[in-house]
Amino acid sequence: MDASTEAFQRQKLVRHENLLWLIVAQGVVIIPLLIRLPIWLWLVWLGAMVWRLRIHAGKLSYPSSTIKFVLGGACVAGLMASYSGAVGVEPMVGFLVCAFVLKLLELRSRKDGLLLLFIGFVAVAAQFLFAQSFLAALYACVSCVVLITAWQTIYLTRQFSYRYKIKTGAVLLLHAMPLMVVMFVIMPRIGPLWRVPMPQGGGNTGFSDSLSPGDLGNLVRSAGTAFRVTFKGAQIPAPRDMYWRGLVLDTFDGRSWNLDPQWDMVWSQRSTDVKLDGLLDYDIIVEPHQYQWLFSLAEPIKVSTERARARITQQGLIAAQAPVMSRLQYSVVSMPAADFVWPELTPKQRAKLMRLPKDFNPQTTILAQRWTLEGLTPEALIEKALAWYNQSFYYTLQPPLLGEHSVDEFLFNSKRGFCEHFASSFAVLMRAAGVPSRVVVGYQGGTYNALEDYWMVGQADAHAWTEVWLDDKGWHRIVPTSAVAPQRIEKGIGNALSDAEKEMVASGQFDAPKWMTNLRHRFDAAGYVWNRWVLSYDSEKQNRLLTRLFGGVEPWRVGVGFIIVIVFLLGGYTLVVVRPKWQRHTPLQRALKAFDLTAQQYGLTRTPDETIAAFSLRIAEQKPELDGVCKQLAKVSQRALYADDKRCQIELIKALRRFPG
Amino acid sequence: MRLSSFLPKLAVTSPQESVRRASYIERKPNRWQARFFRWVDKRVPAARSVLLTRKNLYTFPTLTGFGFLSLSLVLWLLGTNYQNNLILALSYLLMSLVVVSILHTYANLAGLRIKVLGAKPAFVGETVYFVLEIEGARAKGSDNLTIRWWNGEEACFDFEAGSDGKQTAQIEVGLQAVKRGYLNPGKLLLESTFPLGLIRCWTWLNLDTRAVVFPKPLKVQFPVQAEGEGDGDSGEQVAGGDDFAGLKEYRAGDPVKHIAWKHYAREQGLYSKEYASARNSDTWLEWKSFLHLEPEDRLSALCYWALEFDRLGIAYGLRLPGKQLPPALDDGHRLSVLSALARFDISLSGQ
Repeated sequence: MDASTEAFQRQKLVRHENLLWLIVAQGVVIIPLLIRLPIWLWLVWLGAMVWRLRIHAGKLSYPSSTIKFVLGGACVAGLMASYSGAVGVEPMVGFLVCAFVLKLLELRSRKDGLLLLFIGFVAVAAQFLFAQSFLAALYACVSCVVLITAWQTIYLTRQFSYRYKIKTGAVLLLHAMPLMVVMFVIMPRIGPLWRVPMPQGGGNTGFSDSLSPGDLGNLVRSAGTAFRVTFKGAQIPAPRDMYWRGLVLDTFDGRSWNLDPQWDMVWSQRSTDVKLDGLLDYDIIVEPHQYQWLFSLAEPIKVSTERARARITQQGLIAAQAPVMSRLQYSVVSMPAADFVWPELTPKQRAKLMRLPKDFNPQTTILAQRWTLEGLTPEALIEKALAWYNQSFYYTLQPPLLGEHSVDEFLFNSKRGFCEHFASSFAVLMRAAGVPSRVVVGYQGGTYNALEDYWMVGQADAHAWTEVWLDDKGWHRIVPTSAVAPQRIEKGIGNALSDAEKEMVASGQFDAPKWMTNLRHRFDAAGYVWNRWVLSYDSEKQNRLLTRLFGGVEPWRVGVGFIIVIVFLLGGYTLVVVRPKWQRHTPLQRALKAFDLTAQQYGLTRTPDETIAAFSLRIAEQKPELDGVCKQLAKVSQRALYADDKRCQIELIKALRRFPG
Repeated sequence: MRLSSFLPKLAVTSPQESVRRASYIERKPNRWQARFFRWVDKRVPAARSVLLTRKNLYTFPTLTGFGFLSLSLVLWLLGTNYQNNLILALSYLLMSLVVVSILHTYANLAGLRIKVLGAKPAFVGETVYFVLEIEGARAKGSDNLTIRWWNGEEACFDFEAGSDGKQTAQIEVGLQAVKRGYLNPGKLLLESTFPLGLIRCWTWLNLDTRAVVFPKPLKVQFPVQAEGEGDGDSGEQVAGGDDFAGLKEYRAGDPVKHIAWKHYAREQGLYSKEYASARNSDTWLEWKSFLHLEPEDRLSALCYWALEFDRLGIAYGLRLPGKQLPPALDDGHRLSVLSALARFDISLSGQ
């Protein structure tokens, strides 16, 4: 290294090249964070960067401690103002980014550079608070490579191309990867040590706790995934029978259906020791939707989760203890609804399930009363209503807007609607006719991914239907939408809509070219594997994996397992690297070496210029008992030397190895 | 090259010159260091050439390394509290990075061979440079190595990879000369924290080398030489002050009046006439002439005048108790005079 570089090294200062690398690394790390933070932080970052570069150019000086204090205070005040004083993940990350950026202004020595890089690693961790997809992990890997490269340049004084530097940084990361994987797999997992604020994220997804006309119509246009399901048993229902119940809405205010606020307070004790053929056993990974409800097929009898506790409510729903803020995996056992024994409704419950607001939808009430006067049984009433739907209703994604008496307008005027219109009007009709009923929202169907053997249920599969109480059967699922357009239920939403409407649904994800669908499936499958094996790898999965790998979870088993692996690796290394080196010696050289070693046991050493023949004759002189063998060996060696024949050489090798036998 | 090219022509060291490098720190190995050095001595006897292997290389995390480990622990806590597997994975990645950098740091040093080429002599107060040759077998070369004698100043260097199989580099490691005589540099420390500064890999080498340190020149008045005072052999040369003794080739500094102008005019070259009296008045640097000074200063004064005569081109001899160098004037003579001064044992002077 030249004299000035050496001086920098000895004084442990940051050189120009280090500075550029540090700034680049900082940029790579904080851009994904800045996207989620108040926009003025971009200016702080750019300002600090320009300032530091001007310092380097000698145009500006390092800020005094007063200025630094003022800048820091301004950033803190700005963050407080932007988040109106709230404590949460975003303000915390905001502080981190501020400190990270302002640290540039006091970057002088190698120590400052190291501190900057260390904050950088914390910032990479902060990236994971907001996004945990495979791509996010990939980006974090890139960030780490840039950070390590910047780190290395602090100590690197030889002139190298930036490519070479990045390569060495990546090599360091690659070398660290295997050990990281091992630690990730075997290090014990423990629960949270204390409560921490969670990121607010991009808002709620999926349906909400109330349903008004038009809600689901908006939802089916979004392309997101709601959850993924893996059936563990051989029993897999047909897609048209997959009604994923999410929420039961049993309060009607004349326009929208609402959730009973006490819905998750009433737990249902369900016997779990049923032995039935129709039992469904499945795992669900639900995307974070910021709500408490989880999804299941009717009727769940058992639910288990690793992280958050979840229980089955009286309505046959699954409620998590806290809103789902990150991907959650849970397993459910469901039994067929037909086999389920329902407890009788109490008069209070019955009254609640038949309550309708006064002065709303008079026409519907009159119609229902007329039907009741005909003396029809509930079953006949249902049939009559469905027949009516079948005759004169249209299914559309663009229903006309409805006024105050939304059910009346839908039933008697527009007659065009989406599933929530049908479900809502049907439930109102049933209640008016004296049949307890409620609206259920959830998803219907799913797309099978053969690559990883799971079902993907998207937001486009959102659906609403009705459940009515029949005194002799219990709760009975009625899907009024299927009375209108049966093919929708049979083949999924893609078939039931007109071409223009298909465009709107999930931005054309139906009937996309085959390769595109395949690609989407592949991508989704990769994401699924990522979720299942990386993001939701918990102590339960760890136990299972360790048991499968080592037959148990005790530390000694893991230790022995690793020793075996290491022995195998060393063996492989010997075979591939060491043995070829050893084999570079010819067989004759090796045989001669063995022969020399044997001769040394007799106290005789061959001098370097002595031929085999001469040496064996010398042995014969000193050890008369070996006379015959040695004479023979001398003869063989002469022949091998002068005959130039492969066979003679092989004979010599054998004789040398056999000696003195 | 950091080193001013050394030849003992420099009569008096300028003060700037002597503080140019990090100053010498007068220190002794502390108890633990002394114990460690004894242990190293037992393990590896002094040698002219040492190969760095896992037997003589030590590694331990630096302060930065421990800091980084605590950072990964903080990330682990974050990942555990948020139940965020990717943050956990990141913290494990950082821990693995520490482990992996042990190997990288070790590989940066392992396989180097350090050879002693010699030492350049210096005056007291100057820096003695020991010349080492580093030979590496690694195609990538080695980065950011720091080398110093155990109490000397540190030097940083990189080891370039050569295109041919054998790669060698010469480096000079300085040590402040504080005492006249032989300088045994002690242990050589070679260390590196490359690539991430998390792990320090170092070695203490016991190299078989020493340097000669000349006395520091001390400017004093040259005493008037009492002619008769000398030994018998100088007395007989007193006679015949103007006797022409022969011709010798002219050298810069010869008196102008001694130039053989006749020879010059005949274009036979430039010669000086030598007179017997000139030989008789040969300059002697005498131990006894500086008796008024402290013994060490006496040697320093002799050193000054030896360099001064050398500069002026006057042949000079040296008389020390028990040692005598006849007058001469060339580089070899100067070196032997300075070495004699450096090696002189004051206890022999009878004082």
